[in-house]
Amino acid sequence: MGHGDDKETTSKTSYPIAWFDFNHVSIPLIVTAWVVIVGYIKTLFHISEKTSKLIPESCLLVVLGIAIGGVAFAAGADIEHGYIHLSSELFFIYLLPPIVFEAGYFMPTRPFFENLGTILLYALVGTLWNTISIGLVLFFGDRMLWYNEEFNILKCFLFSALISAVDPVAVLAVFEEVHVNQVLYILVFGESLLNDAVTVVLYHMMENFSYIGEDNLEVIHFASAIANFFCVSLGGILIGIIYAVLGAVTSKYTSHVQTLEPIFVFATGYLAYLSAELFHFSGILAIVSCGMFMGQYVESNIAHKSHTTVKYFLKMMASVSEAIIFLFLGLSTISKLRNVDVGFVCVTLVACFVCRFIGTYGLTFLANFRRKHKMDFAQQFIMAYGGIRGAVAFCLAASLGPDLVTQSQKDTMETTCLIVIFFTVFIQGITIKPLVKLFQIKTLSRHDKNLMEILSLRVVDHAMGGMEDIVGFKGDNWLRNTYEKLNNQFMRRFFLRDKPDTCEMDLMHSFTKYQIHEQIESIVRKRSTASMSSFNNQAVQAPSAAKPPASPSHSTSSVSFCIEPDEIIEEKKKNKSEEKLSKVNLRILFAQKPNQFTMSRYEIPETQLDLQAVARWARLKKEAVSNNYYDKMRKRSVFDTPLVEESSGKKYQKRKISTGKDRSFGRCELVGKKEKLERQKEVELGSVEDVKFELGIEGSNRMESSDAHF
Amino acid sequence: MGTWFSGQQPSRDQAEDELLAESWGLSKSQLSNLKRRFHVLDREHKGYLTRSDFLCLKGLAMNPFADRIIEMFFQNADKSENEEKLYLNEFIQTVLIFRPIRERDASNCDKINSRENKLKFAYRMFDLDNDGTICKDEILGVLVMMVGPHVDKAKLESIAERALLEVDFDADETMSFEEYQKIMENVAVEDLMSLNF
Repeated sequence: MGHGDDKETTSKTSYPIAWFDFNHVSIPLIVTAWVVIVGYIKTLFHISEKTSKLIPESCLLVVLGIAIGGVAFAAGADIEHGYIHLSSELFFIYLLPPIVFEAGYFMPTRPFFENLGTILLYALVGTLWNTISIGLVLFFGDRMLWYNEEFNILKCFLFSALISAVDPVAVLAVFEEVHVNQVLYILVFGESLLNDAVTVVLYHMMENFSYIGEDNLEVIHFASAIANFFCVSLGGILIGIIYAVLGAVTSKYTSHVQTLEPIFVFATGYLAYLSAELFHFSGILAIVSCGMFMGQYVESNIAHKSHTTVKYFLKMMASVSEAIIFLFLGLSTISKLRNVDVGFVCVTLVACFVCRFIGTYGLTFLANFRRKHKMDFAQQFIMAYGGIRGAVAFCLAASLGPDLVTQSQKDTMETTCLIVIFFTVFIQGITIKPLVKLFQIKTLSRHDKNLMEILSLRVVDHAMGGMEDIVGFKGDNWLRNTYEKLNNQFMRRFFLRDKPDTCEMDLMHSFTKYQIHEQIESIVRKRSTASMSSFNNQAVQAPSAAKPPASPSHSTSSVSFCIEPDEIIEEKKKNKSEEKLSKVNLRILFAQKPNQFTMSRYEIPETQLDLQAVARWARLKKEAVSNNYYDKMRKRSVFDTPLVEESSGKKYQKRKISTGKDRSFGRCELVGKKEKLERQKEVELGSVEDVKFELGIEGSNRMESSDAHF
Repeated sequence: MGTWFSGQQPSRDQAEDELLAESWGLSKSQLSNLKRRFHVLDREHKGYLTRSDFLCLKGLAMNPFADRIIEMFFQNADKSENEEKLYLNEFIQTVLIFRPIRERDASNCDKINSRENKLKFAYRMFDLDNDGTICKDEILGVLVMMVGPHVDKAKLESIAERALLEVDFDADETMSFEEYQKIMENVAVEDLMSLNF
């Protein structure tokens, strides 16, 4: 009944039954309408496979934006100040953070840090070079070509500062379809993320210099600018890490409020961004470092479902944000494209392109001295070609104050930004895929690693760490080893909910997945009395959603399963004579291999087994027992034997392995003796042997090595 | 400088140092760095290294594979007397395996830092009894070394068995070097196992 205010004191003789009140819901309605429109467009776009392979989504969205803008303009709408306008506030505060957070959270940390030197080189030195060279070219181009406007050197540098930065949104959008190899992707994308610090500093530097005036510049101002750079970048990273610590510690205690866990993740990231923006530090650096740092600990702490929620939600927000950005860029063209200064635009385009190439080739030449995996010319070309400008440049131009540049200069700058963006997004975006094919760039390898490979890689890691110690050269391996040691000793103990019992968490995780799969196979095999020989062709891994009754000899190596407790109990009630598992309906879901690196907006790699579902099932089984149900069903009482046995008890054969002195044990004492004993008394949930045991597999003494042979 | 060479060879002067460096594909500064390192490791100035010299390195001592790595060095060592002695030549020979592969020696498979030799190093890390083949127990041993004592041994055992099964193409319950090579064909060993020294 808030409409009482709308009714004027003028007396109404009629009683309105229904009326249209747009202002009541205008903003949320418009926002949601746009989001839904964007969703429809994306869906329609992906229905046709061919188009989505040829043209990147971003191009289509821009074209559509232009079309909608054109229609609105023709219809006479006030597009300048209406709702169809990419304002820099909207972009920097609402649209950019989800995209960057998603990128930082899912960034594969190891390749990133391995290439960090090169990335920093491109981001810092490369962007600086771009700014200076483009600025100089623009300034001198004024003499040669006719600009409409008067641009003094500071304004040239101001403009070049905002146009020279590679844009993370655009890079993501374009490289999504082009599956280049991981190193190349990390280099380009990492550069686009880290150059934010430089862009922010240079932009503010040029702004302040313009205020101070060209003639009053002194050395002290340059020195302040450099100090400002360190402040901006390190401050941003520090803020990110502070929030990440907060988020990680919070996730330790949220086991009772699992549905709230995702909100902590998002809020922490967003707060990091906003806090950095409070001080005009680099928000992107803050949110990226927050995501990367927090991710490793939070992923181990939160429930599997929260993990899925976080993934889905982040991908969804990032996807929608990106689409809105490009759509609005298209929309903004109609109003902005009035002041096309041909000379200025041409010089800018040429300068951007050429300077980027020179910069990339020059810097890679330097970087290759220290790199193990040298970048060849073709890859450098793609790296230079992938320097796509995007909405960041446009929004920075749009936020130029009226005291810095005149309105017509501002229009020129915005227009030029738009044209450069369109050029890079359209032309470079569409042609990059054929170029990648032409240069035969190594693409993303999707082969599944086998167990020996995974093991060897870790062994080699340790070996290289040792070699670096011996040779006395503190390289990447030494750094990584030291970080891992620190991580295991302090950080993991502090941040993780359940103290890990081994230093090699990732390794054990991959192994657990393999083992669960083995157990399924053994179940499957038992039912069909398949012989041992059918197991030698493990190499062929054709994933299939096989139901156990149908295809016994299938071996899929990318499987995770989730046993529904209700189903099993139902089945058991139905089948009186079940000793074996033949009638139990295991629902096998699909999961991709762990550590599947993907750039797609629409693919969600499964990385965790739903061990909690298994645990839930085990608990329910235990409850069912109390009804004496199983005593009737089986000849023997299932729960005579304890659920957990001593892991190094007499039943295991002790194998003597001469490995020299037991040097490894000292460092892995993450679990105290008391805790270990306590844990042994608890029900070990989710252990493979439990699963097998509970499913009533014949001869499932935990120790039976014949069953573990697969 | 001459005393640091292997006792079996006559001492050389600097010009021949350069020749040596070239034959090994090292620059003069790299060779002198390695020599200096050998000197640092050899605390008692014996002229050769023993296993305990290596273990004095704190970082290495914490490595789960410390013994294996040291074993790799000492495979070429002088075992004539009761003690095992590692002289400079053999030290450098082992270290050379990790020289980054440059384009011009990519085709030359006999070079000491070829991909095959690097893989062989990794292979020998697994081969605990140094017999040239890897059986399930050795894989299990390596696993235990890495993962620590707190993990369920049955799990590790089944992993080791499964790993061996995936690799064992000729079904002889051991993994030979050729099988290992086949498995690791997708791994960029040249980049991983390189040191910039």
